Amino acid sequence: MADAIPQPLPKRRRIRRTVHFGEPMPPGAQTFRAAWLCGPALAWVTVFLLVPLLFVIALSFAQRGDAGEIVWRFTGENYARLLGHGALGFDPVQPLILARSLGVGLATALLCLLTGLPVAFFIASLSRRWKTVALTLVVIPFWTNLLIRTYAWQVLLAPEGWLAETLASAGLLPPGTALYPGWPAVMLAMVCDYLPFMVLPLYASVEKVDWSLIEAAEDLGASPLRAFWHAVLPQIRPGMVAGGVLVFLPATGQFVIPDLLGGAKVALLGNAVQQQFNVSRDWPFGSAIAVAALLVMCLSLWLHTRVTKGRREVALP
Amino acid sequence: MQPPDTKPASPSALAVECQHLTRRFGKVDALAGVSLNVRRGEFFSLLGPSGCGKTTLLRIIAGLDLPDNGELRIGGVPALRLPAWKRPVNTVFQSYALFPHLSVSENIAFGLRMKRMSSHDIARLTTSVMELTQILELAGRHPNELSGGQKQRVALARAIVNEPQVLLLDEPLGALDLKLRKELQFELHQLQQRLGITFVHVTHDQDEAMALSDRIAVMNAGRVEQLGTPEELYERPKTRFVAQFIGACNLLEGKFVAHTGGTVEVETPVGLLRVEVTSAGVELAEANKFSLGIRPERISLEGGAPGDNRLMGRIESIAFNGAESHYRVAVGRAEVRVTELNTGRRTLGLFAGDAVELFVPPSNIFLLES
Repeated sequence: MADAIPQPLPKRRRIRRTVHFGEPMPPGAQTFRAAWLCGPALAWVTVFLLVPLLFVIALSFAQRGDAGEIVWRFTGENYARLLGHGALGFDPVQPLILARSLGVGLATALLCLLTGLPVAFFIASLSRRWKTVALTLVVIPFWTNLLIRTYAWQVLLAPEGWLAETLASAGLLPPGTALYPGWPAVMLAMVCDYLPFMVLPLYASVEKVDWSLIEAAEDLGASPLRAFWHAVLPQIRPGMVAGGVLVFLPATGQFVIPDLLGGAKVALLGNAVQQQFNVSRDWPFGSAIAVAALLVMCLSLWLHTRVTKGRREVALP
Repeated sequence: MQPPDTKPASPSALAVECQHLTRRFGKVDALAGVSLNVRRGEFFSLLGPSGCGKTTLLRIIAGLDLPDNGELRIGGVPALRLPAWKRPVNTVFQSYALFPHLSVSENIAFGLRMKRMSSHDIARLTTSVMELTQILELAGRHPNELSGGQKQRVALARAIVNEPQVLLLDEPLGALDLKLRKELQFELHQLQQRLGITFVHVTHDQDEAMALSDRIAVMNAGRVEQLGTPEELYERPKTRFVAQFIGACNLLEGKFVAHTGGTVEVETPVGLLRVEVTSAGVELAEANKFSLGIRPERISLEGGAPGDNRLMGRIESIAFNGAESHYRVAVGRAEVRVTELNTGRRTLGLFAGDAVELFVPPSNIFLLES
């Protein structure tokens, strides 16, 4: 009590100096060294990311020649087509692809959030040792290639697979029914694949939750459900947003899973781009789709920073 | 602040009634049968060392914990079946537990929002309570932008804006420094007088409890040792624990020798002492299960009255403390602590090693159950 009067600490000047092999370095040398160390990575990013990206953007304003070659003449036609400007008036095919992809991304993010929340709370409630085990289990699927996992789903969901047979013998499914191809199979695989991206940031947020706030909320007249809603959810919002973005971005561009489990009948952003570059040999239009996807993702990232702005902790893993 | 028609006035004169409350955590009895009543409108303190069960009792009243046995009534209504959020009580938490994502005014409005009050009424009540607690200029800030004292005021405002029947305070000033604590003690007292809400206050700080409370329950090891006004607890402590926990006290083991009228004679390590007792005290003395307690400031080193116990001793040390001086005096086989006020009109001019005479009025020695 009385003996806890804080003593003033002796003032200590902060020394801004980097020790380099025991010798202090002048600030200019530091900048030089930093640039030198960053150099290889910067060069890599410039040559293999920035330049191709600029090329793709430029390409999206070019035209396709009759033989599928690139004609460098400026046009906005690719974007007009993307927005539904067809030769015979409005053509919904391309806008639908965009909308469908966004829908798949959003649905995956939402389903991952709903399934990931209980998982995150469960892991946070474990003892330290079991936490490590649980988190490792969450990450383990990453050790297997996405393609292999997707083929595994095909086997699992096939008419003669044990899942379909079990369901059939339980009378829940007519015998011989395939669980794929179809949207349920696609969403099932998507959620399974992206769940770790949701669980990890969610868990990081849940771990830091101040549970005494639930008591405070209930003391102030909030029912348990409202206490959770008003006192706990706001605390894990950074994790929810981070997880949502981490799932939404790759899920929107995903095409392997919809192709393999959806029966390759539905066009999404990913396979639309692939198709334009490979089958249709329309690189400019393919580029326009890619740039549009990029813009959508930038928009969602911007929303993410807006939501988490002003908060001290952003729970990105 | 709020139209009184929202809560029907209960006819009970008791705000909180606890009957035989018990609560066990593993092998520890946090509450070992606590019965006490808190009167309407009083400032009631639960005082005791950490681990004595006072916070457990508070949490049970709040509904944040349930007793294993016993009965609890709030405003005359059985409360144990009510969940925390339906009880007419609000708590000021030791850690404040402010919502970090809400601003000060939103924090204060929380309880009213849960009652689904209109936004107009919420704004009015929130503003008036912020005026009352002098935090109006903090309305837009977030808890991480507040100092400890400011958080304390917000936590208080957030609770009293709901006009609870009983306000529960869990070591509300525990995390603040001494000066701020004294200031807020005063304000807390003023606020209680003004609002007329029943306060149940948990603290381990006996000065704080004495300064604020109408009545205090001194708790130890899950039991109420003694319940009374600050004066009663200081002047007539019943047990060794209370005598030592509230104020300083010389404790002496004694053996009953004789009983004449309103006094008993007791053989102690410092010599034969005459003690003024009640009839209950006589029984206690004759049963020979007691200790004696004497407050250090009730022993004087000069100018005793006729009829005082007189003891001879030798000063071992003197500690000058400004307003008073503390003497340690060897008397017989024991050491006695004596406090003399430094009034300025007199100086005793005593030094360590001096022989002194001690005067103890028989009315200022109390019998304690042991």
